[in-house]
Amino acid sequence: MRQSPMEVDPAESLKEAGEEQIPEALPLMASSQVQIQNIQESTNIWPRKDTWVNRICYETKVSREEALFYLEGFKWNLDAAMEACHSKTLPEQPSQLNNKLISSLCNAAGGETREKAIACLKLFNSDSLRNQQMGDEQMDNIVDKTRAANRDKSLPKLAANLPYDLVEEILLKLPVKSLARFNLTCKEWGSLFSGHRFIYKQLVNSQYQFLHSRKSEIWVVKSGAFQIRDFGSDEVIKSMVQCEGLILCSTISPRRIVVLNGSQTRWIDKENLSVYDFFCLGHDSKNEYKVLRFNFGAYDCDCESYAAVAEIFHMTTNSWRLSDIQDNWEFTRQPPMIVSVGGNSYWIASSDGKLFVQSYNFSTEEFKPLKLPLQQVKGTKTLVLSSFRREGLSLLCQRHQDLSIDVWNGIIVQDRSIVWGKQFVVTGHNQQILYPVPSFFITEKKIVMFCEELVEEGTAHIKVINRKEVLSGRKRGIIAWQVKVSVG
Amino acid sequence: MSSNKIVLTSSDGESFEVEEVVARKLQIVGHMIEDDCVINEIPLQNVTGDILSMVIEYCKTHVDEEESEEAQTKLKTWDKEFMKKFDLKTHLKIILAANYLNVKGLLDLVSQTIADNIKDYTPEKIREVFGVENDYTEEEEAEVRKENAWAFDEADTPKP
Repeated sequence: MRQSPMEVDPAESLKEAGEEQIPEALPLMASSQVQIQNIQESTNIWPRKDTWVNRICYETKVSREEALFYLEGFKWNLDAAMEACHSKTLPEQPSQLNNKLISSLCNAAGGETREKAIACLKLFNSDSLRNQQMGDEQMDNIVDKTRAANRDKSLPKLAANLPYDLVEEILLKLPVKSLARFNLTCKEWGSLFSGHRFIYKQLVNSQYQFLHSRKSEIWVVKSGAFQIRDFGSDEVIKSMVQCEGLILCSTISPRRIVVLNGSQTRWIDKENLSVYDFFCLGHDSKNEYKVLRFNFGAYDCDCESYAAVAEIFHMTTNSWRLSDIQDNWEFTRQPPMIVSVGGNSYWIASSDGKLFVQSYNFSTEEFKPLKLPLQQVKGTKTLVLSSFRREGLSLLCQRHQDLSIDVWNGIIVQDRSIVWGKQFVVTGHNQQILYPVPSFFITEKKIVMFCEELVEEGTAHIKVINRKEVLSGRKRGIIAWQVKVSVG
Repeated sequence: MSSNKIVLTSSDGESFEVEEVVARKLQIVGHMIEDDCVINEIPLQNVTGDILSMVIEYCKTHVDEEESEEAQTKLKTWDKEFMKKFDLKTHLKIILAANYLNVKGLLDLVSQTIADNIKDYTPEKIREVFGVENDYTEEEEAEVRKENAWAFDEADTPKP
């Protein structure tokens, strides 16, 4: 049963409080926190609050009113109030704590308690706790520092109970360099990263990512440029193609080919590679990866044989096999721009001056020409091919006369034919954008294009051509970011 | 059912009254509405009030996603600031909630945020955080490390 306040014997209550309720001496701020909680509790449990008043009265021989005054003034910090009663100093005004800062810290640290927030604040700048006038910028600074400290503190098994599909969801968003490092985490992760499904998903995730090779280096260019591989100065990359996350490079001096995914590298050694070889990477309907090497029969003094040849390398069986070759066509640009869709390869070719899409089907191991949406003679327009949503092709066609750009999307029907539909036309600009070798993506509203402009060593551009804005004649239709992709 | 307000109740009994359009951003709720099994209060068993309120804040902000470049940029900035408010522990709670409530945009946002925060971790720290046992032998580990040596170099790649 509760005793009424007036009947409490001060000595009795002191003993009780000493044992159970009075917090031990804590650093000022931390103990303030404890007091704040106690106030909330004590609104319901009056006797405890009264216990402290009694204690102060008993120890410092002041009146109840005076004890209450000091206790209120010090926000029910018993030690501080006691001290103040002894020395008759008034509590500081206004409140001692910068509550705004503490609460924003609690928020920032998400789920951290007030005690921890206060502890963090003390760590970085204890004065700020008292400073109500602190500017937002200063506050952000402290919040950022706290967040950084939180990030770096030990986080044992924090994510241990996360379902595997959500772990995968996170891992899919990592840059390749991190994935390569995390191969080391455990065997399961290592095999996850090299799996076809993961690589494909990762690629779909990172839609606007351009691959770029320069000397011995491979770069991924997004809003910034990130080097993902450097073979070292001995290897110079001659060509690079990609297929659903796998990258195939051919190098000169020495002439070698290498296949890599985000985190793994496989060199394929082959005698007598010619500098005039072309390579495609793809997979058949059973998802078995293959490399196509072909050569029109150009003379290379370092090669024993220079007959026209097409060969297939099966990555699962590690063996080469001859394939039929059609050599009645030629590439329209060097190096050729080879696009991979659904495991097969596509590029723009010409035959007797007429342009068409040449394809190589990795299931049937055959070349097959496909029509373009326009009857075109070489030289009056520039054509560039890209994949469209991983299931079709996009075609950019820039007229040399007025620089207008037609955009077409083509759906591939059963690997045999293609159905083109005109998406949009961009006019009213004066940029020759399709030179030298751009790669691009089409979205509903935009052409996002990466092109290396040889303005100065080491710079390239990502251009975003916004169809709507160009059409409405606004000036900022073409936004170009300069991206530094190599130093020196 | 009141015209277009829906009450969502968290596992710890906290209730939130939201517009139907906002509630529909939670696909779990969207499906319930389509299946006509909504009276006026939806209990959400696997999410606590504090996390649910964050999800709702996200959905409210994303309720009418405008197409204009400007609006998109503004939303992206908001997303970034929103995520910056929380630590890894909370991010992990949000990813569970976004998955359970089926809010695709938030799931993408929070998983990207976590990825950005852990991308520079060492494999050792990753094991610690994800509670994964290292099952490589010493030789295997050396081999994997060698294969991926390029990813371990300290030198930062030049940034734009």
